[in-house]
Amino acid sequence: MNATFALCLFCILCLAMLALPFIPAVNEWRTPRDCSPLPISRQYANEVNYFTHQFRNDALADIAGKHTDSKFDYVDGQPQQMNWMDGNRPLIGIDAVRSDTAVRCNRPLYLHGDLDCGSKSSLTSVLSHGSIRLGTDGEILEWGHADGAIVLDTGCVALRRLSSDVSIELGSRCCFERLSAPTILLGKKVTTASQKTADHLVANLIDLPGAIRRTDTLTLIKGDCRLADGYSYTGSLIVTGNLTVGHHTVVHGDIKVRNAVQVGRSARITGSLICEDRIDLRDHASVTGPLISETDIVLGAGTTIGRADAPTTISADNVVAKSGAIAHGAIWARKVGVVWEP
Amino acid sequence: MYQHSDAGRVRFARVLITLAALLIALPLRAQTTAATASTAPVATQAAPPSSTQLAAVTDSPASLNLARAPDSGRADSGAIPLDTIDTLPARSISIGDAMPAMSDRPVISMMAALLFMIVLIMALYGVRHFIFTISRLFGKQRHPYIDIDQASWPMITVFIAAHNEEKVIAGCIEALLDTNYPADRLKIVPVNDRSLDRTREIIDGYVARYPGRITPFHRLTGKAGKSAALKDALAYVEGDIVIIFDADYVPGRGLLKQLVAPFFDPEVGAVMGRVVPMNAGTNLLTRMLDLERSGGYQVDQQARMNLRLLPQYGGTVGGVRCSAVHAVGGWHDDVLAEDTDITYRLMLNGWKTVYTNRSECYEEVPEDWGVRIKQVKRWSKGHNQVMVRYWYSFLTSPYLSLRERIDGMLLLLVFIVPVLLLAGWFIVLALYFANAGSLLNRLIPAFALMAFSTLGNFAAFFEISIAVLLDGNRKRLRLLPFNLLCFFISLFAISHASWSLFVDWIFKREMVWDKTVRYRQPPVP
Repeated sequence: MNATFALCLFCILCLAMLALPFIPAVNEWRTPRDCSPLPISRQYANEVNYFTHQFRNDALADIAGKHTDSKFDYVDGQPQQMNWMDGNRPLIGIDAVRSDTAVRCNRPLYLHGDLDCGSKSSLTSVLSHGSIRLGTDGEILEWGHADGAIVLDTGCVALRRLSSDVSIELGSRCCFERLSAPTILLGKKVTTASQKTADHLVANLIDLPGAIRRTDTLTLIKGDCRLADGYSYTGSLIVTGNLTVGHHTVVHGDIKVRNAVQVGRSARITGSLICEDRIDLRDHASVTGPLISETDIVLGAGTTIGRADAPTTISADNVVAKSGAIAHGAIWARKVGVVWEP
Repeated sequence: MYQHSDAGRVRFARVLITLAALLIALPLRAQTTAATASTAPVATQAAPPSSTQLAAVTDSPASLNLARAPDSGRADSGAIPLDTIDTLPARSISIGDAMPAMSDRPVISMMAALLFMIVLIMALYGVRHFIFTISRLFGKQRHPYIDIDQASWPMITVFIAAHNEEKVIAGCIEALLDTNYPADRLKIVPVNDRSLDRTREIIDGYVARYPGRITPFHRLTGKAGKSAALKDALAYVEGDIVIIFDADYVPGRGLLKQLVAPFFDPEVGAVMGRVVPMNAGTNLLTRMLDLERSGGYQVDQQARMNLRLLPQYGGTVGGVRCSAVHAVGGWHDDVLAEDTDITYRLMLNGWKTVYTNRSECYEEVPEDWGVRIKQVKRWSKGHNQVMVRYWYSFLTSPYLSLRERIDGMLLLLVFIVPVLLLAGWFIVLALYFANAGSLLNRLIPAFALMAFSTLGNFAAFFEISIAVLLDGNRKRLRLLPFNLLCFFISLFAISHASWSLFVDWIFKREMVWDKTVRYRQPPVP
């Protein structure tokens, strides 16, 4: 084998290796099998009751007899005698379902009335025109929505989405992921502490140690920051370290904290509180705007998030709510949320 | 606003130039010293060769050539008999001396040093792509604001940038009218910039049909270009937040809330959503651009978000906080890439840009190469213009962490990389034809890296692959080899644009904004 031949062979081999990946490429180009745009649902709006809309429409159409071949089964007879696990089609209940014993249903359930079931009930997904009440240690595994109130007794578990047009009340030791309602009561209601509003001392954020004015209404603090007890501050604040908001202190503005934040007893933040680390709200503190942490949030007893006329969002990996915390709007616990009663 | 004097910039430039000169000079000096050290004393000693030296003589053709002294009379005899080695001067068989001293060929040496630097930069970008991809695969994915779906939504203004957009403007307006953002806190402002087609007529039709919902801004005169038009439109802003869409975008119902949510964080100055080509399947070019966009957003931007680096605001499907823009010097209309300009001014003044990967919106990508090349050239010129303006301020900003500074600089230099790569190719060729083979023996690792980087380094392709897989599309990945074509064309287009920017700067020419062609059919009136 002479050198020229070897060189040619080498070149051909190289070209062949280079061309190899182009064979499937040319095939895909000439006969496209995957060329549609990435699907984006224009109607999807991250709404908590997104899944319930279609289910409700299908169920109502079925009840009205619009479907020639029904896709649903119907609840007939007493709930206690009903075999909820028999079949795999979604269920429709025309009347209210009340049972002292457990209702264990492994298929989507649509109820035209209320649902009230005993302890250790287990539902996959449920949509009720009325209210929903689950006894102790019950569970909703996928999603639940009620046009009325939802009450889960002690030890219940609500995975995925739970929403109500009125209110949600969770008993102690309840676990949840996503809750949405105008009013969410976590644990037993506690009496609200008297707000010290009259004797707040007015202070400026720019006077804090290390403060840098960013805009007329925004102040940056490099490092840790402590807002003294009983003061009132106006303006938004960015803290690159940890932040401690003193007891009874009021901040009229938004707060961003890169590390952890602790909000003292009965302190009040009228804007948002966004933190890259843990947020700890002591008893009776309140935040009006979104409360966002990239790790954990602890809600003290009697804390209030949002207002009835201004719902907001709480979001964190883990949310621990002491009994008596109230939220208006939505709570997202990306890993787990729990109602804790010491 | 954080700024620096020109004197400081000049001082810093001097330091950089001195460092670069030292970098180039050091190897030269080292070689000169080595050459001097090896010739003077050893020549007189004529010590017997070690086994390594023998191996060097027998293995290296370059050494053999050098060993053939003109007066030895053995130039054509092939191998040198071992018994003659003792008689050869020591200089001719030393390894360090087997190659020409760099000081003998200063131009070649500088080229080699430059090539080595280019290769290092390519490797750095390769590592960057790799880190981003690994972060996207195995890191914690940050979407801190995506859950905010209930809040007291602030008053916002939505600009629709439109210049001769009769084919697409209706779709954008209708989509915005259908959004779930509270209508009483939403002001829609189509910015009709000197359109000569039916754009005005279409906008006015919607104004009449939806009274009070749309506030048109028909711009009849003024400086050309999107940034100039948006600057003028700021007079129409209500509220502190402006969301901007190009007219060919079709936002989904929930998109505005998703884009506004990060602004509840007072540190956020700009927000960017994800752009998805809607005409992905039209032809080979659009399919390749679809792959590129996937890599750019699904991996690159999201990884920056994950790693707390600096995601980039892209000028559309995004928004800015007006008070932040005002605080950093307002909207500039003398730039081609107003998005990059704003991004960097916000960054170097401590404002954050947030990328929200799940805030997706369709756009049109170029369907023919001419349009694509023009687009890339515009991006390149605009980006490099920003680089020239802000690199020093960015390096010395007191608000940035080290990792932000590094990432920001790499991003700032991203449109210089193709020029460097092209320069690297030319240098390699030049070195080859300059017969610098012996010199280049020392740069074999560099060549290996160069060969790797010749294809734009594979880390970028790895990034695209992972992005496409994350999007759940497998078969289209087979087209990836064709992206080399895109890469080559972009390489030359960007290099040409960089040269053009330089010429513009020399002759003080004003840069011209080229509008991207639309392909959708206009709606039937």
